[in-house]
Amino acid sequence: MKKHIRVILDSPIAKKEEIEKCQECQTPCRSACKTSMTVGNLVCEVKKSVGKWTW
Amino acid sequence: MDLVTRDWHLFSIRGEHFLFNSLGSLYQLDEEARSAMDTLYRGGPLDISEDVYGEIEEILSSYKPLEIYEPEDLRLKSLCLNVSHSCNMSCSYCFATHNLSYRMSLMPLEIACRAIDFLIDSSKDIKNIEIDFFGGEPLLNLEVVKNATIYGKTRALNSGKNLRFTLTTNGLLLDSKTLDLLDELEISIVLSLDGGEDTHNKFRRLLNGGGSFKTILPNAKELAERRQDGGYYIRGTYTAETLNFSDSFKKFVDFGFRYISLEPVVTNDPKLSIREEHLPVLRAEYQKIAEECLSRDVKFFHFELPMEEGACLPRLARGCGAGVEYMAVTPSGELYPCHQFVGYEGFKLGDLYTGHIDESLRKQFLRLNSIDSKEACNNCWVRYLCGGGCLANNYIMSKNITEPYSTGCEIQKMRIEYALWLRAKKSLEVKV
Repeated sequence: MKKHIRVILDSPIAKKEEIEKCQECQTPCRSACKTSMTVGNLVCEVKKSVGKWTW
Repeated sequence: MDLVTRDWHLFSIRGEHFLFNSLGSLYQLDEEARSAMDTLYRGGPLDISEDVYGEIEEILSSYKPLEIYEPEDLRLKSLCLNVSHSCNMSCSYCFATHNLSYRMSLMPLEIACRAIDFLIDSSKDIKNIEIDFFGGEPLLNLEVVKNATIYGKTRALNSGKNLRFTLTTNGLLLDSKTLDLLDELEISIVLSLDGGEDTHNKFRRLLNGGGSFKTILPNAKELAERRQDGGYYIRGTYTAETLNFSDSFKKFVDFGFRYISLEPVVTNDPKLSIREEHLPVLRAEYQKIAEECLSRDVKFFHFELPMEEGACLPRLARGCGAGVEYMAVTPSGELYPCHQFVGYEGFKLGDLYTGHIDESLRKQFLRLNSIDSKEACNNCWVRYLCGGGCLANNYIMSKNITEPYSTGCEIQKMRIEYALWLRAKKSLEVKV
């Protein structure tokens, strides 16, 4: 039977592992945007490459 | 079947229909499903086939709102150091104009080091912290940038911190020798360039009134050539007089830039300000950029939504951190909630000399950093990707930090729609 709805992303925010009280993610108004902060552009600090100095 | 409209968003781009929910699910709908969802949105009676009904019911019932952990307090983790309130340019839309050359124009090394100590001490158990060298033009105070970075790296090493650095520059002084130093110090760079020569020179002018494009472009190209794997953004501003910013984007790509951001100006100047009537034009411009991103190996900052690798929900439910997680330091050591509040005396948070912090103001910003504190945001589908908007923009546009800058909200929603559309297109490409 033909599907009418196709799943592209399945609750990635809800499924993300939460590291309770971690608070490591940075402030989103970084220099790349300086006039418009956007939390959705953040990458989880814990998942970033260790020692990486770029964003 | 009930639909909580604040948690779901139905949108169409180029004849393709999508449904997004605030916890990150994205669905592509055929015309029959879209029509049914549209009816649900409007609260009308559903007259649809059983199979469509079943599919819609399945996705709506799969959504369960989550309880979000909200910390009682937050730690400082990022400082913007205005190392220079002088500038070698005179850009007509600059929000920092009222700060330039007031009081002390260049930050002494002692203040910069004191700021780094303040950040390291205040961050307590937080490991990842940031310093952004800003201005004015920070390269006018390069010696302090260099020595403060060396000091910060040593302090971070001894404190078990991971301290990252960024420098935002107009690019005039970013010659090869300076780039060598910034490469060696591992400082990420944001270079301001508005577009091609005519667009850029329209507002970004030298102190003598001349255009700055021809001096900056070779520096920007060298930066991009050296840092092909990241560590820079070319960042432009568009205004009501330069709305064709997709042309700037295409020029940037042709210049060889891979990491690009283009931002709306936020100003009350009626000639430059982005207004509601501009939104259809902006939509068309963002669409052109999104289409370009499909076929070119470039990253447009606002279309980068790392949904799986992104921040967790407690972080997404908070704002920019201004005044709490993030502060700006003036050359004389005064503290403000962010770089855009610098110079507005009513928003002075304290200073590094006495260590005094206005706790009442800090707590006001702590409260405003929570999505729950803002009714308009709490009822918006994009709240976990936006974070609640920019308090400084609210203040600039209405002199009220709690009143959302509505045109900015619409631009944000528009950008997120195109980011999701891009995500869908790329996801379908992979599946094929």
